[in-house]
Formats: sequence, structure tokens, C-alpha cells
Amino acid sequence: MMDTPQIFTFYSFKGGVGRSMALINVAYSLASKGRNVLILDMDLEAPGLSGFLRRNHEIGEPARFDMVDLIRFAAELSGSMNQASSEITAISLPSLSDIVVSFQPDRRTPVKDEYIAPGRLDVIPIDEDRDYYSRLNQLAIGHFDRNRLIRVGNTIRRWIKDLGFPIETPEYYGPTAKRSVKYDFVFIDSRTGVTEAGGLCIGPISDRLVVFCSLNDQNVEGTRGFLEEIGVIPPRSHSNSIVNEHENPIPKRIDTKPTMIVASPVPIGEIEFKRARLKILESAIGHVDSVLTYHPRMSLMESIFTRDFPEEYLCNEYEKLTKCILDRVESDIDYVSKMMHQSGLSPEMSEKFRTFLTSFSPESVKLHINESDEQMVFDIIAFFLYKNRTIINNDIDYLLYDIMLQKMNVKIPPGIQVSTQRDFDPILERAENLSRWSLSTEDAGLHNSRYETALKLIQSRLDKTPPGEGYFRVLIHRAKIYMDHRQYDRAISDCTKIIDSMNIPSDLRSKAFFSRGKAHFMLGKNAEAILDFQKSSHFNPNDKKSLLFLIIAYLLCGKDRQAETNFDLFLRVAKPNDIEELKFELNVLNQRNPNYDDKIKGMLVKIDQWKPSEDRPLVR
Amino acid sequence: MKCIEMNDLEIVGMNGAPLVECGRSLPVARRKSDGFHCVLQIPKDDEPISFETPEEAESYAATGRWTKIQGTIQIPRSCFSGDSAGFTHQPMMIFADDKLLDQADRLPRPGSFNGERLVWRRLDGYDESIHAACCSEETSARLLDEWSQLLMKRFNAWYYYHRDQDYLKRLADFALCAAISRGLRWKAYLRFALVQEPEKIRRTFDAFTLREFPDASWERYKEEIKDLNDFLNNRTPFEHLSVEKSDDTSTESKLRGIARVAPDDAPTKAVA
Repeated sequence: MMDTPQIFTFYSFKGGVGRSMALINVAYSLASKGRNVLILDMDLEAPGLSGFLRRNHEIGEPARFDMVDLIRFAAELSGSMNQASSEITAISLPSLSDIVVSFQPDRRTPVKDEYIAPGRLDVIPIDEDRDYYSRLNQLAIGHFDRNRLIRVGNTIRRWIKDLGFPIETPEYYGPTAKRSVKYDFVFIDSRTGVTEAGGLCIGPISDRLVVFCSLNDQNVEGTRGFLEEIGVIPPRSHSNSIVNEHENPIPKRIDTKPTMIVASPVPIGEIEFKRARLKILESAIGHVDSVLTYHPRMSLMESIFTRDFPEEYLCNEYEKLTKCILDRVESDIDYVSKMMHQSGLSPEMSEKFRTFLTSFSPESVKLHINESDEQMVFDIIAFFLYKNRTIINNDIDYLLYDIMLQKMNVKIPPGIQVSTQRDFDPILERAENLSRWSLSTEDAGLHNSRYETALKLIQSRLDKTPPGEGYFRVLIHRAKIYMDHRQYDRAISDCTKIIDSMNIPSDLRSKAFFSRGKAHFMLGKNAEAILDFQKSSHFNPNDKKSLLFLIIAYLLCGKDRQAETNFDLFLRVAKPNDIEELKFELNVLNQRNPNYDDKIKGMLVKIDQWKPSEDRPLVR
Repeated sequence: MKCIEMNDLEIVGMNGAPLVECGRSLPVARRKSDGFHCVLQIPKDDEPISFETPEEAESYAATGRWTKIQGTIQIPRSCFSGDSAGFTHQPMMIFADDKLLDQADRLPRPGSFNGERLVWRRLDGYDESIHAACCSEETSARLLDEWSQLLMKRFNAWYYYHRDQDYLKRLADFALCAAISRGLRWKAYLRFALVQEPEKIRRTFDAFTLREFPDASWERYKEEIKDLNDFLNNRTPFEHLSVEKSDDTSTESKLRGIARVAPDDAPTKAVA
């Protein structure tokens, strides 16, 4: 898995090849896919990108410092030491809000997928209105020697890699939840040509290069020479000119600095000529990863096609370039792992998750991540956690499940069988998760915050559900949450609403009687509890839980004979799990009230002699 | 009346108004059962806490005597023992502007400090970058001192390396605003003076420093400022790091093989 952020330098030997506009188009596209992107305008002597963003009101007012300042500060810092640690760069270089400018929210690309939150899109521009020439002169980057370029590059790199921006986390997440996020991508717009500023951009500051080159000889020759010089491709063994290299094999790029080549701009039409020129380009500098076609609008007026002209062919080409960049850093499993890692799934759950993932065949679950099925990853993780929800017992897993349920589609991923969960609802499941989570803390503030959020979620679902079966199914969820929080009167009220309604399925009526019976039972109203448990059994004769509590309620009322009768009945139909549950409840009862000691002991003896019988419907 | 029903109280604001970038103040609490409000201060000599009617509370908030928070905060458990027992520690509201926290490298706002959970709430009628939380008095002092120390650390680094005067003034101002303990406040005053225009230094000393440190003399103050200047100028804030000389005499191309230079943080020499 790549460390984040991945720093890409966009370089071109000559200007006018569409490098800066490609950068901005890809950045907008990535942000609309939920990635956090930071752009550095390091084209110090010709800051076209900053000018474009300012003229078009893509960004707001400049910050206190800009890119020229940052390089000066890094140069001053690295002038006095070999290697500045993260802590040193953090306090000696500007803080985020003093240098980063955010793109205007109303200028952002609309997010296509409602489940993916838009990413952050920021820039460190060059402020041409604040002593630009004098500051540039003062910086004197032309006098930097090689070592200094490397040291300054390393200093800025360390600062970038440690940058994090705060994110709002709901209070109920608790104090240990992550409160800041790093950028996913940093794009550097480099100076063209063979310059110190360009050297700074392509040196150790960046992880990868994206090199733009048009198809004319001047560009191809210059780019080849430059890539040789900086060590991306090996030097030519003989001094053939490019035009004679048609038959030479495509040079393999040295892999120390992964480099993508973008042919841009490629003319429209002229198919044969174009093919020939692309071949020349490939023979000179290696495989061409992406192609951007000439577009008249781009040549006359710079534009963000990925936002403003999605119907144009150039937009598709920018999207292909975006995909190409994404593929370089995020494999499918990487992406899933990253999400799991970022969300902080506990080691035990991570292990289970790996087993869970490998249990799917590639045919049944396609894990390929792209714009359309990214959602599936969230669904799969949420489904995994749903299957394991009863064993979740620490904050990080509760938190991850909450996050995943928020992102989860109502649709279950194809290939996953969930027929037994026909009423699965992510919002209700979130409420139940929050309720369980609230019970796991001793902090009263956190407990209340999670519990109140759970109730608000249920209420939001009730508000949107018309009266009828769906509405009552939500109510039964709320009753369960009230029960967990010992708010028995409220649980009774919700269950009574269900019981009093007409035309609801038997299973729902049975659940309502059972929950109300249990609420009565917990309040010590055993007579009412017995009636409800009997009704619950009546509407669902196979429900062993009602029978189990009926036995206990009879015991508590002193109706030993009825308790015995139902106990024998229970033993005839019980499965090992039911027996364990009964033993547990009897022990709880025994601890609570020692008066029943003898009766309970008698039952426990019978239980110990119990042997499983064939499963058959419970008929009384 | 030291014993009050703690679960019946919730914090809804703070005494006074946030006029600077950070600070602390007594909490304002509301009794859930009747809506009456009080300034939550540990009573002395078993005096009762005096509660104000909801109408009075509204008028205090309207006139800026109290500042309301958005939402409520539970009284920190570290401040009392048992649901209806008395206070064991004085609760305090601590407020801070994100601009200050950003400079102290403490954004996002801490979720806990000194073992106490911090729930941050926006303040009604103030910029959205200002938030307040409640904790014990001891923790609030330690937290503010920590911010001040971090701000002074940044100040030292910038004084040595970059000397952006406006920025240094801002850092010194923030550090002074945060400092609680006497020693730190003196250090913050010295840094504040170090970056002021000469004519302002005496005025600051007479108007503020002397009020807090009546034993200080102007001559001694001047000497300490000079010493601090020498100290910060002549000693890199990170003295364990050596200085490397640039190789100015090389005739090799500056960019030769530069793309193959592994970054400092690379696990091996080769770029992964």
C-alpha cells in the first residue's frame, strides 16, 4: 500500500502542451471522487496556474504565505541542517491555514455518487500581487546548488507528507476517534525546461512524474534529453537523431522514479501522421500512458472540462488520465485495505475480514474499484461487520461499522446472500449499533450522546415512513433499544401501539407481545408478562424465547405446575443454544432471588440430563 | 450548599465573553429540572450556589455577561464524586480560536487531555472558529500552558530562521494569551517585547508586565530581552543537527540524475 499523500510532479520540457490545465482537470475529477487533493504551483517564474485560478475566481483570497515563501522558508531551514525532522518542519514551516487556499465550494465538481463525500481541493498558489518580483529575486533559486535543491526538496516533502487537515467528528465518536486526515494526492505544477525550479520539482520532493510532451521534434528531442539527464531513461548508446530511431525498441524507463508519459496536445484527424509521430515519441522516451487531444476551446480559453464540459471528448481523456493515475497508486485490495486501515479496524476484526474477503469467489463479488462500484466496497465491509456485529466490543470496530453503515447503499452487494435479512435497513442498524456502543462506555456524556443519536436516527426513519407494517417494524426496533436502556415504560408504549394496530403480520405481532412481555417482566409485573408471553407464543408457536420467559415468569408467580409443564415442552423442542440460554436466564434468576433455589436446581438437573431431539414445530 | 444533584446540571455557557484568542472562564450551568441557571463555582464555607431564573439568564446572555454554547456539555466527571456529592475540583471552561490552535499545531482540537475528555462546542454569536470545552481547573491551566509552550517553540524557530516580523508578533501575542503559569508568562512577555517596535516596549512593560510582575525592574527587563535575542540568534533551536556546507565548486550539472535521488524518508536508497 502506498503511503499518502502520493506526490506527483507534472512536468513538460516546453510550455503550451496543456500541462497545468491537465493537472487542474485531474485534480477536480479526483476531488469529485472523494479524494483529498493539494496542488502546489511551483512554476515560480511563470505561475500560470495561480493566475488562472485567481482570474476565474476558483479560489478565494490569498493566504499569509505562498509557494515562493514556502521554498524560501524551506531553504532557510535546510541551509542550517542536513535533515529536518517532521517535528522541526512542522513548527518551522507555515501552518496549513497560513499557506493553503481552498477552492470555492460553489466551483467544485458536483459529486456523481451520493454515497461518496466530495474530497478536499486546496492549492498553495503564488501570490503575484504581493512583492512577487522582489520575493522571487530574494529567493534566488538559480543560485541553489544540487545539494541544496535536494535538501530543500526533502524538507518540503517531509512537510507535505505530514500535513493533515482537521475533520469534524460527531461527539459520539469519543475522544479516541481520528480527527484529522491527510491529503491523498499532491500535484506539483513544475517549471518547464532545464531550470533549478524544475530540478526542485522532479528531485526527491516527488514520488512520481507525469511528463507531458507534444509530438514535434523539438519537444520530443528536448524531453528525451531531459529525462536522460535526470535519470529517468538510460542515456542513448549512440547519437542517432530521433527520426532515425523508428526501428529501435521502446526504451525502458528506469524505475527509481515511476514516470507516466502523456502525449499532448495530439492533433485531430491526420490519423496516419499522428500514429507515426506517436511511434517516434514512444521510441524516444518509452510507452505513452495517456493521450490528450487538441481542443479549440482549450487553445483559446483555459477550461475545467471535467466540471464544465463533461460531454466533450477532452473530458473523457482527462478522466482516462485520472483513472490512469488512480490505478498507479490504488489497487483494489489496496483501496479496501486503506479504508480498513484508516478506519482503524481492530487487529482481530482485520484478520476476520481477510478471511471473509477470501471466502468470495471472483465471479460472485467483483472487487474492482472504479467510480461506479466503489460503493460496493463500503457495502461489503458493512455487510461483514453486520455478520459480526454481536462480537463487536471495542470503540474502533463500533466506529468503523457506524461509518460503513453511513456509506452503505440499501442494496446488498450482488453475490451475497442475505435472504434471511429481508428487513435490513442501514439506518436502523446504525441506530442499534449506536445503542450497543453507548452501553459499552462508562462515560455518561458519551453514553448519552450515542444513545440520543440512535433515537434521532430512529425518529428520522419514523418521520419518513407512512403508517403501516413498515412503520411498526421501525417501532419494534425502537422498543428493543428502549429495553436495552432499561426504559421499559417507553418500550411498552411502542409495543402497545403495534399490538393495537390492525392488519399486521403475525411475526411482528408476536415480536411486539414478546418485547412488551419482557418489559413487564423487568418491571416485576409478572401477571402481565405471562399474558404477553402466551400471546407471543400463540402468534409464533415456534418462538422458543417466549416459552423460555414464560417458564421463568410462572416460577416467579409461584405457578410451579405451569412452569414445569412448559419446561418439559421446552426441553422437547429445544436446541443446544436454547438450552444454554435457559441455563443463563435461570442462573440470573437464581442470583436475583434465592427463594427459587430448589425449583431452579431441579430444572438445572433436568437440563443436564437433556439430550437434543429432532427439531419439530412446537404445538401445545 | 456544596452538594447538588450533578446529573440535574448541564453546562450551557461560560461566564463573560471571549475577547481574546484563548482563555478560560467559569462555566454557566442549567438545572434541567427547573431551567434555572448558575455560574458554577465551588462554594466557599458551605454557601449556597445562587441560581438565576431563565429570564435573567437570557438577559445576561443578551448583554454579553454570559456567553452561550451551542448545545450542552456534561459536567466533567473529574470534577465531582458521586451523582449528588460535592465538587472535588473546580470545573472551568476553556475556549480557543482555531487560528491559535493551528499555530500551536493542535488542530484538530484535542479530544482529551490529562485524562479528561474534552467536548468542544461552538459559542453562540461568535466566529465559527471559536470553540469551548469544559474540564477541571488544573487541566485547563495545563492545557493552556502546553499551547503557550508550543507557540513559543514555533516563535523560537521562526525567529532563528525566517524573521517574518508580523508573523512573530502574532505568535508572541498568542503565546502570551495562552500562558497561565507565572514562569511561562514572563517568557512570553520577553518574546512579545522582542518583536515590538522599540517605542512600544517600554509602554508594554509599564502597562502590563509591571502589573503582573511588580518586582521586575525596567533595566533587568531590558537585559533579559537582549539575552534572549542573543540566545535565539546564536543557537539553532535544534542543536543536535549538524550543518552541511553546500558544494559551490562542483561543475557537474545540477540536475544530473536528480530524479534518482531517494528522498530522506525512503526505506532504502531506491525509491519504492
